Amino acid sequence: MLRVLLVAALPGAALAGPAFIPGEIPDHVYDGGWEHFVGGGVAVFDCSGDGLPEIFAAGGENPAALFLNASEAPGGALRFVASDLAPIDHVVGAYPLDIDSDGRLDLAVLRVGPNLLLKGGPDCAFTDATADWGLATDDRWTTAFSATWEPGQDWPTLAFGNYVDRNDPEGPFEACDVNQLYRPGPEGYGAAKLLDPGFCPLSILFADWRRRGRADLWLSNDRHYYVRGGYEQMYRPDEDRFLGEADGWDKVSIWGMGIAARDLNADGRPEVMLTSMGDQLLRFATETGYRTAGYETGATAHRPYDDSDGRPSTGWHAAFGDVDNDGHEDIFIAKGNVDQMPDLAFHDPNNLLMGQADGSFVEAGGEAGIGTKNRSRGAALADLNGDGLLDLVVMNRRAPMELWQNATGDTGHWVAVDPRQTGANSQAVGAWVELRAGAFSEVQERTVGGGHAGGSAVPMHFGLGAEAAPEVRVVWPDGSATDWQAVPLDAATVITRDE
Amino acid sequence: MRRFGILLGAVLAAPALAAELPGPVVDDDYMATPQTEVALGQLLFYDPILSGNRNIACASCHHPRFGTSDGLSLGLGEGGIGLGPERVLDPANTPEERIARNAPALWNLGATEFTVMFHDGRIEADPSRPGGLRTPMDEDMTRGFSGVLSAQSMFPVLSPDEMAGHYGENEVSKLVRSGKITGDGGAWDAISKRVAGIAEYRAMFDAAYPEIAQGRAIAFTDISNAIAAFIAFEWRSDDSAFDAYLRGEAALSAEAQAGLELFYGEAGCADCHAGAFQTDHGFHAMAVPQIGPGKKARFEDDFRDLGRARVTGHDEDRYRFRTPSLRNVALTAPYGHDGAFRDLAAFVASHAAGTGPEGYDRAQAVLPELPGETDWIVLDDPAQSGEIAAAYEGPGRALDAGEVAALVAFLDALTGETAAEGRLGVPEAVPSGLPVDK
Ligand code: HEC
Ligand code: HEC
Repeated sequence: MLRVLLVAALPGAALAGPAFIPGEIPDHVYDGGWEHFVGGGVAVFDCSGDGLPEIFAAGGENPAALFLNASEAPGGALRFVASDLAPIDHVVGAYPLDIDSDGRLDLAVLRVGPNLLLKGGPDCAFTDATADWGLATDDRWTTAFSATWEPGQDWPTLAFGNYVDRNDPEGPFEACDVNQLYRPGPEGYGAAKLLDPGFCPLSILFADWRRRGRADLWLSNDRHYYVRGGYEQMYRPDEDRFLGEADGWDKVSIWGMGIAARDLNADGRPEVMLTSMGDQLLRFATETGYRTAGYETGATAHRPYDDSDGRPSTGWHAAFGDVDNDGHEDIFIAKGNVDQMPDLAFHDPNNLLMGQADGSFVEAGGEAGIGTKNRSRGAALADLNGDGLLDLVVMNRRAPMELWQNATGDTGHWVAVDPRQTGANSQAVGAWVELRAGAFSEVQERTVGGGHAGGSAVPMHFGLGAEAAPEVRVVWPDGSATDWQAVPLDAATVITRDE
Repeated sequence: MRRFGILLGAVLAAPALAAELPGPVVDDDYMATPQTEVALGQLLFYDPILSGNRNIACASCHHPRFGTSDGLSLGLGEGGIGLGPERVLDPANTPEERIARNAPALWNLGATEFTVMFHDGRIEADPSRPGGLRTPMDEDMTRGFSGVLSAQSMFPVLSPDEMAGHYGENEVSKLVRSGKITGDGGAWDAISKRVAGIAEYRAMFDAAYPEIAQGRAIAFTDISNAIAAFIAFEWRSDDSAFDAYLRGEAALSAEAQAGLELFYGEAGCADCHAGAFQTDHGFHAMAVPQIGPGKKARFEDDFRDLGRARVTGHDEDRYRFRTPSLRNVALTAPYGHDGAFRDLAAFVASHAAGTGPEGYDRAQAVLPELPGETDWIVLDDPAQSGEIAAAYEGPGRALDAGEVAALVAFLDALTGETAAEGRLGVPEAVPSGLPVDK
């Protein structure tokens, strides 16, 4: 009796549902013609050095914007202010990463036209380092990005995913461009290695899917433009080949728009959430390959859940995160019509799928207050005011971007872990953070890429529910590992690896 | 005349009808149809210029020879050659699927009470929405159409299977698939420019619309307004035996009269088939067996047609379809939203009793040969067919053969000569010079 009562009183019992309230951010719209029907990514990362992340937002035909975080930590009202970023047009999205390993985050900026590498300086000053770092750019329409540090390399290998080849006179259908892989060399990056065939990726992600100690590149491809003959691709850089059936890679064809990865069942292998049109695909990693979760898992989010329209949904950015810190990962999915596709819902509410103890998901976007029905694209789930609750930023096409402060009550415990290295690869991309706390355990991989046209470089967040004695172990990108160590509860911890 | 009417009325009053008989149809029930618009609309309706590949006209699926439908359960749009039941596959351009639903007849759509279009009502008057209309384009819908019928006529040209064509076949299909519909350089604009490029059409637009004569460019809403005027004029149908009866001008045959008494009486047909055009414009689940590919987007791999629920998102609307008008129904076989029944009597019997997919005779379907077809998937799936049967909301009354025959005789009395023959008819030629289906 006593025990039951105790459990009910503990945090993590999720008495209240998730709740979000609007934050303050200047008006900013992702807009433009056909080339900006896709894209609209946000990059979330701290460039001011105060520990609170800024937001870089693509603008399409509007100039991209950098919004500085002026919120009071911890837990103050979210407030972002404009910065004086030099105008950059035709930006599709951006990913933060420390390319030159100087300890400051840089930005890979994806464009319709030449891409940019912006070197981060003090106080959110950025300089164009594309030429300095030797990246040979061209006029392609880039819609996806990912990076990995290959063994022994001081600089990351950069992958750019390109959408439709606009110069193909037979296009745009069945006219997918090739993708590009840039490896560091003595003179910088130089020219790209072409990954051919391309099937119009809208999201790519280097991750160690197979736990072999090296990342493979998942390319989530949009069947809308490759039409036929294409499929989801997995490229293995060290063998310079695409995996096939013999590797257990089944050639699934979807309208791929976004990738999120997270190990949901503590088996050390990340599950993957792929956004698409109609059914969204949550795929479970098994020893032999991937298995798509059935309807009973509750993660298909295939049509507007507010009973306002029976037409199917269009999914874009997907992100995992434990929004109520109950120890179960939740999923955010940005939704919205491409532009005018009358067979698909026009007022398509964004999803917040709350993870349940039995591994299923329950829709809570409406109750949480974030079920807006704009043409949403990129997004980020990240703690923007240092209170341990994941906040939300959503980018919209043809409508102002949205900022949402997580105001959920009765949340559980949490920790944030920020693995760092002092030499190359300062953010320890490719590291695995393992966390255990009583009955709870979870592993997360530090990656750069995925989502829809944007990513976050922030401490890795774990919701613990009622567990109060967390311990962490970090497996560094080279495979060496720290010992298990206790970390402070309800706080962020930097774990630095010395040379 | 008047006396005769009163007299007849007295005779009719004898059987107690559960439902009241409608009043006669009058001129005020219809929208105005200026002749300059009608003449233009006639040519556009029969002209394949409006289709992406310049090979399909509205009349390809709505032809007077087949009661303004196509004589098929489920037609072939893009990728078919020939008309009606003779329509066959184009071997050079085989379609992937049939059109998901039966092409409805176009009678009396100029009557202003018709404000719900398509089997699922996905276009309908809705004063709560911007522009007063709910359409699949929501607030992006272009303005300038004259009414629901005109707005409706803007959509067939966007359907890849019906008129636009597929993938990279032509500029219209590319725009549609890319999601570029409205505005400069959108699909509607591209088709309008084609039409505007033909001098004979330009002259007719000048005559029909003073603003165009004064220099405004031809918009797709002008095209659809003209087509709407034509449909309204050409297929107004209110001179059937039933109309004469309602006006008190003539009695029905004894069998038709018996059918009328059932229809407005015991059989309960008029609960839904209400008013002078036999429709409440509402939605009901009648358990018509589902055949064909189902209503879905390219990326969906089921074969369902959830009907109204696809529009509203409400589960209780699953398998509900709009009550069709029964005017000229004798001319518009096959029947049901998917044309599952070629025979009217068979349809009525199953419909009234709610037999649903159970015992359905597949020979009732009229389907052009299509290799790799998936016509029976839902029928073959007991779970899905069971859901359809369970959703039935009809009278659930097994009719005997005599009752069915009487009801069919009454339905026959809904045929009106003038519209059936057509007023302007099929034009000899169209301004584009493209072939006309005669
Ligand atoms: C390939 C065959 C095809 C062609 C070509 C076609 N239609 Fe249709 N039409 C259909 C089908 C099938 C439906 C019913 C679709 C549904 O309900 O989902 C329909 C529905 C309609 C309706 C609604 C009628 C009602 O009662 O709800 C109208 C009006 C109409 N069409 C007019 C046109 C016009 C005007 C054109 C030319 C611009 C045209 N159609 C071209 C097949 C066709
Ligand atoms: C509960 C409402 C309802 C009742 C009662 C009803 N109907 Fe219907 N009727 C419909 C609907 C809805 C459809 C279209 C169903 C579909 O296509 O799935 C329809 C279709 C029809 C059609 C086919 C028309 C066509 O063009 O395809 C005929 C004929 C018909 N009904 C006759 C009758 C008769 C005769 C009765 C009385 C025995 C009757 N209906 C009773 C709602 C009703």
